[in-house]
Amino acid sequence: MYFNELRFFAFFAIVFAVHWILRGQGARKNWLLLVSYVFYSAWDWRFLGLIVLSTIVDYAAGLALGRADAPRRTRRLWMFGSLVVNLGVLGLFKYFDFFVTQGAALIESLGFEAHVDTLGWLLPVGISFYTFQTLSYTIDVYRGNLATCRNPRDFALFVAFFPQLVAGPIVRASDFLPQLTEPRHFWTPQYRALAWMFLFGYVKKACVADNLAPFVDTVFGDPAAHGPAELWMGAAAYYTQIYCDFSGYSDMAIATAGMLGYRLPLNFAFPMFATSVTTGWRRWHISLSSWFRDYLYIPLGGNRGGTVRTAVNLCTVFLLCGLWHGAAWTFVLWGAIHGAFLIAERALPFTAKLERTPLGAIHTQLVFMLAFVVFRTPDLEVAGRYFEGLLGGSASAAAATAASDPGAELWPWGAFLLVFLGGHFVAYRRIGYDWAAKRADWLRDVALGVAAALAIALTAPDYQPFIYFQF
Amino acid sequence: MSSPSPRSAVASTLRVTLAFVATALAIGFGLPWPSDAAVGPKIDAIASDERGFDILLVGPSGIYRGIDPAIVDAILAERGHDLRCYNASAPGMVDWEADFVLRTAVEAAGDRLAWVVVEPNPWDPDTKNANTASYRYLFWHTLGQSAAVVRAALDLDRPRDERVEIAATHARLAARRLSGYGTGKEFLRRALGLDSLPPEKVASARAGGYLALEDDTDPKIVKRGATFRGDKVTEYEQQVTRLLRSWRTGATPRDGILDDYDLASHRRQVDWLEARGLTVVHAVPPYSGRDLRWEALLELGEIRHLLSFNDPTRFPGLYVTQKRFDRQHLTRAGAADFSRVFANELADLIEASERD
Repeated sequence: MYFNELRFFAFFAIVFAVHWILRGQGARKNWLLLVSYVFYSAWDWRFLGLIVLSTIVDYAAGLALGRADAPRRTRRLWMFGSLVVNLGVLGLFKYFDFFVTQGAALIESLGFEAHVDTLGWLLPVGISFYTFQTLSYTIDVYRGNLATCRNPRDFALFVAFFPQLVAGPIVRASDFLPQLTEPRHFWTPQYRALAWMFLFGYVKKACVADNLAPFVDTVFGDPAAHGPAELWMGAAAYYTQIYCDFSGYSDMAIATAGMLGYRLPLNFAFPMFATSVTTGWRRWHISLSSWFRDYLYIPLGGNRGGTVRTAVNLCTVFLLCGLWHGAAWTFVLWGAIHGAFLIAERALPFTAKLERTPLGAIHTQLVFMLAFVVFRTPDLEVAGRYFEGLLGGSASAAAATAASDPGAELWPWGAFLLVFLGGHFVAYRRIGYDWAAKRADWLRDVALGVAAALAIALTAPDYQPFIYFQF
Repeated sequence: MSSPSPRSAVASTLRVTLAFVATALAIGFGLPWPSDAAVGPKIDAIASDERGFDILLVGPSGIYRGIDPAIVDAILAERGHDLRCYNASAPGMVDWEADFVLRTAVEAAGDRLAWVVVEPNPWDPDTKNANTASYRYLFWHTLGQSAAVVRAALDLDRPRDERVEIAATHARLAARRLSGYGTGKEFLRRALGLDSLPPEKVASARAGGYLALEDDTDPKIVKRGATFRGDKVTEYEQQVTRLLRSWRTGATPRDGILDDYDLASHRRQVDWLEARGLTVVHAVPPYSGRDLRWEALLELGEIRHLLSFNDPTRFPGLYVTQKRFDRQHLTRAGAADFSRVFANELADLIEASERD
């Protein structure tokens, strides 16, 4: 069930109505937990068991860790147990096949024979998101930064809350659990602002990302068949597509949760206008980057151990960040590219000056865009061919010669991207979704209705799955 | 809505809803004709013609590629009839799309219109072989057409699940058509000149609506013409032999042949046309197959006038291989022959009706 699907609108209308009709916070939370499980089951009910397992393990770990008289060794065991179960399940479903085949390849390269049996299991939707979410809870309780959640229903809702269950934002227990005990009133949410936020998310996903998808698929499907101009346009289009797809989802998730009276953290803050890779990562997938910062980078020592140690820490974090997205070398290389630029920005003093000039923005966006070429290609070989083509390599030069007039086919895509960027810049300068907050209510309502109808019209005719669902 | 008052919340919701519905309806009503069927310019040509047309032809490619109105007009003039004919047909039209085009063209034609020539339809609502994702398929799903096709789907002699699935597909398309869902791209493509029709199609719309297959620059058509040889010709000739045998042996419609036929949809179309004072002629182009249902409908009086040109015993010239672009379609020379034959048969009908 996608947020931009008619089915979801019907689902949410029922969820919203029943949620606010129910009296008492307990009944509402029971209802939200039930519909969250129904929402997840719409993808594949078989994997619901994994969410329940993760919930039980971390709830029990939280109870054990929260006991004042628990010996240190027992606490460590519970913490370790939670890590093993959560990362074990994630590893089994997401990384087992990759590491087994890579191991076999390594053995074969050494001249030995290797027989490989892979699992070939389907990746459960959202597993990386809810695993990191539950881990944050156990780690926070273990560190003593968070009180144990003693209500199993509340904890289960924290893990399974449907707006952010399958593709984030990754919610910290310290942000969400306290909200479950707050009084909740129908008139509290700013519905008009939330509706605008949902609409902007919808436009980004359904009108921008999904309309770009066929062009991106064509270019990335066979890079050798396209000339340099098409490949550059394809790279720009994919960068825009993945940004709009994921940030659109996040906006819709935040707005959906908001209408039910819950706050989710911001996940994107206009990364396309970042002027350095470092600030770019403070604006892109914020809930993941801050998770890695707080639960990996800082525990590793952060930037407290000198230049070399900081570089090693950054490298570790970004290689794992790449691997978080998927079990493939392309993701690892994508993480490594970002890690390398972050290290370079710390090591080279002139980059601080660069950040204050337009060159900083150009350099940052080029790094993000070209790194996403690696991210999008199926393997390193195709990525290599793509980059060869971008630089006018032999195959792409031949493709450019063969194309009758590539400019005639490309200009609409260029215009599309420029229009999006222009509109996005306006939103960036206004910093907000409720564009007409100071105007009369009736005008804002009419504008919302007209904009929604126009968004429906500009929706790509075919549904495209959210890209981040596969992670 | 943020104001804590139930009254203002209701008013706000109503304003948003009304603005949404009004905009969606405006988009739905203003949708441009799909360019791949090239019907839009034809409707414009019919509506803007100062003198108006007397005879309207509507059907898929058999009629579109087979009947040249210029030749028909000339033959009718030779026989003393000052009548003008327009070919509003389009290639690859499914039954319900043809019905939609027919109704739109009739509305556009005005008072002079007296004769409507349509290719009889099987009225199949199934979506199995249709490109339901195409804008062209979406476009004819107006409320009226959708209601009719949903009814037809529910009346199909099929398992309930299949009927409901087909009906639901049409209902979904109707909702998309009504809300303009996913159609913005069509507006933009037209506005940016990215979807302009080939010049030969624009010219043909202005000149009576006929376009010979040899003049079509669509690469698929060009390729199809170039590959009609060898086995395909042999296969075609075998089909014609079977067709000849069918007409010579005088096969007649069997009992029950119309059991699966959607007579309600057929009547709905005929009644609609006759209510406008039009004489309806059903014409079967020189295809290489024979559908006995049309003859059954004629016997039952459901079809008043049937012109069957798929009869190689009467029209052997239309089946000469050299005059075939492919198995189903005629070359320009073949179409000229068909147009003359058709005009003479139509003139006979007109004269007979004048005598009555």
